[in-house]
Amino acid sequence: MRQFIIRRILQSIPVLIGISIFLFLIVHAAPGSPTAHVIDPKMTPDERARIEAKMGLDKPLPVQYLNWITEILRGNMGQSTKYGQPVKDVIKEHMWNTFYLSIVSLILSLVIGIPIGIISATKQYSGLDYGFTIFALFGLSIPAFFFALILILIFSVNLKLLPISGMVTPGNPISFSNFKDIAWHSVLPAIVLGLGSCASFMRYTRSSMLEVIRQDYIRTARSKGLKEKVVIYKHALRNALIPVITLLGFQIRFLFSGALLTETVFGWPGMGKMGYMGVMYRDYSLILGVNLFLAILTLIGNLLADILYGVADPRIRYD
Amino acid sequence: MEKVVEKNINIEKEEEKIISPWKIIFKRLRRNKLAMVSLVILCIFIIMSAFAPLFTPYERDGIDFEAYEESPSRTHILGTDDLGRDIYTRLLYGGRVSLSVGIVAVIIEVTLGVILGGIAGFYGGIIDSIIMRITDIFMSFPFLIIAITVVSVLGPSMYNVMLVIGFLGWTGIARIVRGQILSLREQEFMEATEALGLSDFRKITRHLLPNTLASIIVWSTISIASAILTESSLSYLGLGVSPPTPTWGNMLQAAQKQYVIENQWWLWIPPGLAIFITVMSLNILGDGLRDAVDPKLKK
Repeated sequence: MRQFIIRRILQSIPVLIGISIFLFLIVHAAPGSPTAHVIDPKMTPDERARIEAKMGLDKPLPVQYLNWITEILRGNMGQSTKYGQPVKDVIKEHMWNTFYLSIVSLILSLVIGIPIGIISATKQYSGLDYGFTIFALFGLSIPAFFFALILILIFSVNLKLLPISGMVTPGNPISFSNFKDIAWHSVLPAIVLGLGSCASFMRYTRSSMLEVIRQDYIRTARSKGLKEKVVIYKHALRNALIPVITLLGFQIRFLFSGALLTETVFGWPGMGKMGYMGVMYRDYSLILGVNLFLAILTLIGNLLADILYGVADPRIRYD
Repeated sequence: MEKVVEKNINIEKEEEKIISPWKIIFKRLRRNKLAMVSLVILCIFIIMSAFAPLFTPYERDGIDFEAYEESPSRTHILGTDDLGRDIYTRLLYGGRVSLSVGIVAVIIEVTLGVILGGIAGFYGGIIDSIIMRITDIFMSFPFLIIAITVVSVLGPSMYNVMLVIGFLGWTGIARIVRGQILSLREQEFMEATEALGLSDFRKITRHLLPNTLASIIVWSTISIASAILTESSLSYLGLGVSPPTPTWGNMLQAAQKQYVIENQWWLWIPPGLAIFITVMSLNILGDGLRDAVDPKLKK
């Protein structure tokens, strides 16, 4: 196990280097000089060259890359032009907003998705099963922003029950004292964000449950005269949840990356919206910072998924 | 004596009726009513948008100076937008772009994925490790953020959207093809190709890839759905196909104004429903195909 983890971490090093080179090249291919925000059109070419030299833009690409990556390794991700703050602080500020929304919707989707997946599997081909299956297909097929707009139309505009956008009522600070206000604002975004993952949890649970309940040991359990409930929830569920745990591991990345569309539609000040703003305002340090940060999180999430898989299923050997 | 001969003839006749695996798959699929309904809906959508001029009296960007932001009526069955353009007409032409972006993007994904996955699975070793690390790189990106970054660097256009979705989305099929070829190459028929002295290229293209075709088709169907979703998201954000070319996604951009959401449902509900129905049909068809290819999961 330890060997496996060490090997996986070593494997991610070239992947990380590849990611950083790829990101660096994309941002470098962007039209317009990154000095555009600093440079005054009235400046003489001399002054402009001095600023470019100060920013290191006159050096060859590989040197620029090395300079950039050493700064990143030192913990300096540069200055965001859009927010006027160091990129690190901007990310820190938005990260927890996204985390809160994601964790609420993840719990929501687990609590709903897994039980209906189990019911669907135990009552295969019943009306209930068809109903849930169609619900899952609905969840996977509807564009998130369209679903969000419909919910806004129904619950915010027509019924006037829930706020249209934002994380708090304007004027209130984002803090624990406003918990009720924040909770109220997060109802719709959490539903939109949770729908898709709820659907995948349901489908995963259903198909892996169907596979498990056909196995011999379940027949043995039944022929021992155990109650159906014990057979399903104690004997079958444990094995059926193993693939679901992998899916859960893959969801770790979304805890911080958030959903760009959901956050943009609801004006939720999270990572997705921040990334969108970064792109719209050509804030290259921010774009690089966000993408790199989220890519690292993804790598960690995938590693955790593999480890969780092994913990949940001791039959899996790492070699 | 004659009877025996007759029997033999009968047996021969029965043997001649070869049922190919594809026929079996199609037969199973035909029994799946939901999947067949989806197939019909998709065909209708494709025909209507491909032959759009036959289904509408209006031009794509034609302006009706007497009808701005008009609610649905007999002359404009889905109303008009803020420039007086017929929504139903734009929906038809928008389908052209949305569907072709989905299909072309998936063709790019499949081409890249099959080549790289095939090479990785067949040769293994260091080549496999390198290719798998490259897929790891592509799988680690936050998809939508990297997509809008690349599109904004390249400039929003239909071709760039196709390219971005295609070049970011090939990892799934690469891993599937690689996995299948890893197990296929250990089978006996591959020893036969070895004995015949076939070239690697022939082994891969004639003997290995045809065996993975069923999974490629299933995967492609579902991927067209997600490519259409991605295109609509990018266009909704203003980073996809830019107006006046309509797509279902950029028609939904109208709904970025709260006034439109509240008062002009015909501007944004129809394109949203079009995306939803298309994507749902593709997903159902994909599921149906998977069940037909691998009936182990059913029954």
